[in-house]
Amino acid sequence: MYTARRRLGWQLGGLRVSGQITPVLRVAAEHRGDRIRTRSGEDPTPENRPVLRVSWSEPTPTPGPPPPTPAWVTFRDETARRLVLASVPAGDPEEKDMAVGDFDGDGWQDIIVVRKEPSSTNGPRAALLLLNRNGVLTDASSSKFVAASSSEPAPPAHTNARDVFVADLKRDGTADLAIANTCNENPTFYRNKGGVARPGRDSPSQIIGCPRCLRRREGFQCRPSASARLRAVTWIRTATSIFTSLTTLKPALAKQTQRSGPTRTCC
Amino acid sequence: MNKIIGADATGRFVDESQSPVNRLGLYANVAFGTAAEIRNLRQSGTTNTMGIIKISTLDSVFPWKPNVLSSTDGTGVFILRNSGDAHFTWRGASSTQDILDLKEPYMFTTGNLNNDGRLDFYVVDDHEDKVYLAAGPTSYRAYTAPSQRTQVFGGNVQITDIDGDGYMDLAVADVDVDFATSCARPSNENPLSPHCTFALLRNVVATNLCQGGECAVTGEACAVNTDCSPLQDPWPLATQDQNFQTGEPVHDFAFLDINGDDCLDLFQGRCDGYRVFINTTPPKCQQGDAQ
Repeated sequence: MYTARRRLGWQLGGLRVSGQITPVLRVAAEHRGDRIRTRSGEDPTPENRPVLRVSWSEPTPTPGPPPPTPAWVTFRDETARRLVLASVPAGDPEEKDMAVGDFDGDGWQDIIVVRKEPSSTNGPRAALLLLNRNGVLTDASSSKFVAASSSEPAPPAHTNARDVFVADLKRDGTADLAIANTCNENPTFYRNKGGVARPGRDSPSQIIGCPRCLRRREGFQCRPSASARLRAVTWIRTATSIFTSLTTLKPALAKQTQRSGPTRTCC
Repeated sequence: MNKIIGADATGRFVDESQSPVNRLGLYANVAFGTAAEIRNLRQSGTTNTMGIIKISTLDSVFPWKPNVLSSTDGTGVFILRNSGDAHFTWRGASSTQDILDLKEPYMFTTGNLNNDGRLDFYVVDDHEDKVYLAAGPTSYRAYTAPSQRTQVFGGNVQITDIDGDGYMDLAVADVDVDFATSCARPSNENPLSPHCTFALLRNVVATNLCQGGECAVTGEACAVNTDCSPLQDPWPLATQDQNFQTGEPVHDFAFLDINGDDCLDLFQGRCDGYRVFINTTPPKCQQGDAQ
């Protein structure tokens, strides 16, 4: 008996029902090796090719208790499976703010996390870049922030970042960053250099992938395509001189503020 | 002081808050301005209707106090209108549609909660959060946020259609990043609400109708449909904490499709690291990875 399972193609064996009705295709022929014989043992020649009697039945599912209706949405904690950290500890205690964007243009949504010491305390920390690799958020923070040129100062490895905004600020099709810093630090802008990852030079994880649109077209069959080249992610900071006017302005926040109840402080 | 940083699309940015451009004037002043957004306030789609919504909190600074808002501390959510030439002005305290939440707002977000084409607001206040539904071109209907989880201090807030039903839902983080002990759980030294956790609020504007003097979903007394809250906490009790509400408090979070199944998953940055939560809401989100 051959069993056809919807969506998954042909399968030899018994009936398997797992949460859906599995139709059964019954075929009056036997499979011996790679040949098909009739039940009388004759070879199927054009003259006596067996008539395959096909019946199609829909097994009646055994009624069971209906699944409980969730109060609303449900989530499963898959941190262990879907998060790979390298530049920060698993128990990273720093203050975090984040934004989402497809930074490498592979169709998967990535995350940028900006960090600083918790509370209104001066304590710059490095940002965390998590690139989505086929459903796994993978730490790709190292060497992603570089100077625009050798004449430019290297961007700060650490800032007192409080907020991050993702947009195509340069209108070149790539996701750029604007970071708001506290503790009297100027905002920082990073332009996504984009480009195409170079095999042999960039991280293999940047060029091995399966663009989501391709997966959709092929019915969840992931076939890396030769044309499926992904962008490398490198952010370069724009020139610093344009912020000169800002550096002379001390925000009104540069003091401790207090009111009734708990105290908020500024750097 | 607030800044308008103008981009010229070449990767360069200029401070346009000062002379000679001076797009904000005195309205750039702010004390502890923790949030701002630029939005199309008239929903017309033209660029000259883009306004600025900003927060001023904690301190009382000119011009919000004492000249304009002498009766309050000068704190609130203020809406600055674009005069048509990319300069922004405030129409004053008498313009009720341009001032919201005069208590102690800390964060806010905007979106269209009831799909009427108008911009609504959710304000995270140090006391109790508020929802402001645009009731017309000149007024808002205010609702207290329907969750103990968001009482007292809160933090980052985001509006998005979490369940994919076409109505915008809402999420609020429990950590106030300017409050030194926000990562500690409530105690005698920590005035956070004992119910304070990361909160997901469901949009029930289409179903929470006034029936027999009671709102159908949230149960409060009502006379007309507009008396009923547009949002609901599906898990109002501490004993109903979901897995994304237990453990350490949350600094910030993001909704994104991590596993490619077209459902929004949840990534949290907590006081003790990070958590990834995959949306498993049946029946749509149970297909597993799209790989």
